Amino acid sequence: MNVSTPSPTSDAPVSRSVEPGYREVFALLGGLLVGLLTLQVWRSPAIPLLSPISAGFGIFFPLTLAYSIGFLFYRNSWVRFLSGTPFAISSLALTSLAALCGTLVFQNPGPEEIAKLGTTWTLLQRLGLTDLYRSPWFGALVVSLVLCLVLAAGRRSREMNGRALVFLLTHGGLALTLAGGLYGNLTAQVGHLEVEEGTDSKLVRLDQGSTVQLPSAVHLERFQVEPFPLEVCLAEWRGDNLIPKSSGRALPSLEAGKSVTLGGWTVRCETVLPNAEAEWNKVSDPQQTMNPPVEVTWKTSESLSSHPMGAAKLVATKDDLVRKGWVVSGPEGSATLSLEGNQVLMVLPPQPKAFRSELVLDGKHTTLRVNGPVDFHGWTLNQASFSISDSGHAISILKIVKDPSTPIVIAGLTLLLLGVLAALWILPGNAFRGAND
Amino acid sequence: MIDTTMMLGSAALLGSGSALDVWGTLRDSEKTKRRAWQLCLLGWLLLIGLVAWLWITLGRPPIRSLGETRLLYAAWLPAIALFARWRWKTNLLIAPMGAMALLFLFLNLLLPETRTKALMPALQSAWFVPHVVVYMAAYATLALASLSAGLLLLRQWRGKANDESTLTLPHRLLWLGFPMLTAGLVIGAFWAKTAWGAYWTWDPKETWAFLTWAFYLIPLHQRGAGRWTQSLWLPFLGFPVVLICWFGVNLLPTAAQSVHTYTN
Repeated sequence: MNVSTPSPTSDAPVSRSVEPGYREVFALLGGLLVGLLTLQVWRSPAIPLLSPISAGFGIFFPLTLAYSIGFLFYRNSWVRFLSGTPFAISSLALTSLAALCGTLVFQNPGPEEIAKLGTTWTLLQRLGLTDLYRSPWFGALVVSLVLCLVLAAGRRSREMNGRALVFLLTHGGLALTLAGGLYGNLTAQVGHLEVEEGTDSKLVRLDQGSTVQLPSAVHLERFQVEPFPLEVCLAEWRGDNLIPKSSGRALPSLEAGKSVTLGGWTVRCETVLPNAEAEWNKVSDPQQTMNPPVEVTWKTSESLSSHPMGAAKLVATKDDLVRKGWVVSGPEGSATLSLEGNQVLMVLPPQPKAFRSELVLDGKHTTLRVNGPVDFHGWTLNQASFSISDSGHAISILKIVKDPSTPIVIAGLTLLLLGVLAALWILPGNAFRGAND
Repeated sequence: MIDTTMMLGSAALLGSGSALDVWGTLRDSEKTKRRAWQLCLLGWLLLIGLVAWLWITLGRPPIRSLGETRLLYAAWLPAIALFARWRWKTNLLIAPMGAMALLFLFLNLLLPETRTKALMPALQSAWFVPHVVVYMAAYATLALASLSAGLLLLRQWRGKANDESTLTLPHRLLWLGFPMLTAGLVIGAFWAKTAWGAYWTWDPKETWAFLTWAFYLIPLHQRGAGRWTQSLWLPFLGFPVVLICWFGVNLLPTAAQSVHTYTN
């Protein structure tokens, strides 16, 4: 602590001004953290999750209370301590350090990752490091940051000028975002819904492991996948590795009946199949040069695939050289067309351009696309991915979210962004002021 | 190969501009320094032309793969340095900008990518372009803040005095880069909400983006003896944190849990 005392000869009453510094703050926060970690390890007593409470009471009341304390009691030493820069930087640093740990340890690991961790797994789990962002001690760090921000905003808002406005927007916005995030952590329901083409489903598997039923069923009328055109490129074999050759240009797309030029070769596409399956045709082989005597051709697959095989029948010509054959790429393997030397033609694995679910929700037809969420009885449906059932039908996998904190967090982020943008103009010595300002 | 030619041309212009700037500084020649930034301007225009050409030929924004983001970053570096020259009348950033831009352009030349037109459905969003463009602008600005702070520290170590306006440069750049970093973070959160239903999932990439943002809050809140005589060390050390967020996260074992895997 920095303590100043008057000289012994002075007649002035003894006064001790105490400015809390980083040391005291680290001691306080560090002690709190150790205490909470101990609580976590010994699992006593269990910190109960808050039951779902309305955002108006759960978020805004505590924030308003803290703000009022900052505004009204700004001279109080505890308010100054908790809203000061040392406390803010220290709690931010500790929160960041904790968040960093979460990037080094697998979060909610599966059986494979648990096996890799071995005996360390038990200790990491008891410390809350395997579900760090939901652990009470991480929450406590975020709460300390929120408290600091709100008290600081309260103290500062007694001034009426541009700088105070920037301060209020940035610090208030961040506090609202963090508080909303904490509230969402406690009350949000996030899960997945799988529905097969032509069927209904209302069972949501939540990420926490439980299930919940939607108020009414989601019917998947049809699922559509639109692939990108297959792209062809030159490549060469270097040992066992196939290395695509970069031409600097965009790879040409294949279209049946059309030709493209690649590295001096004219490549004509006879057939292109973005979703192909192999056809094994027996051929006559009297000289027994083939074992087995079959020829592989490709045809359009009748069933949808989440990872299709792409195939193209190509004819490549260069001067007097002619090369013909199928070029294939996908999860089941690949086949290239040899040109000359170790140079070959290859196609890239098919990529989905778009996939969408044609849904019927409460009797109404709705299309659900990636990046195009749909609201349904307070839940948000997002097109996440798809798979294929054993019978070859598409199964649309939807991410389902019910999060009452969303409007609070969006409001907080908006205020934060407005605040930092305002800082560009309002704060002295800012970026856009000239050299002599 | 058009893109290789344009990258080499740009690298030549930026490299010669930087070298000329160093020469002009040593000889204290304003004319030479003027030629230097004019060469850098031409190099920058060539890079912008390359980005535009790629956008047209690919039919999508050329900001999907690591190589494409490196190119966009290299295009932002001269823009920020030239802005600093115009607004704050300083040539201090020209040489370090040239060196960094050369490094990233040569990385692209050494690690060429196949240019596919495919863009996965999750990236087909109106948020995609603003998110990546603002982030690359922020990274370029913070990199120049780091380099300028390093230069000033070197000068101080060698016993040379830095004038007040030069000392303010790293912090002006921080104040320019930090709002862009914040905007990138906020846009990313809005995008995540529409794409995945959640504005924040503590994904390793997201967490490191938060850590980078939190790191830069510290020098912005520092108080020193005078407003601009603050420590230069924090802006100097900030760029390695940015590099971990940009590239290093992909090397972590937990990267397998990340949804931010858009590279080739």
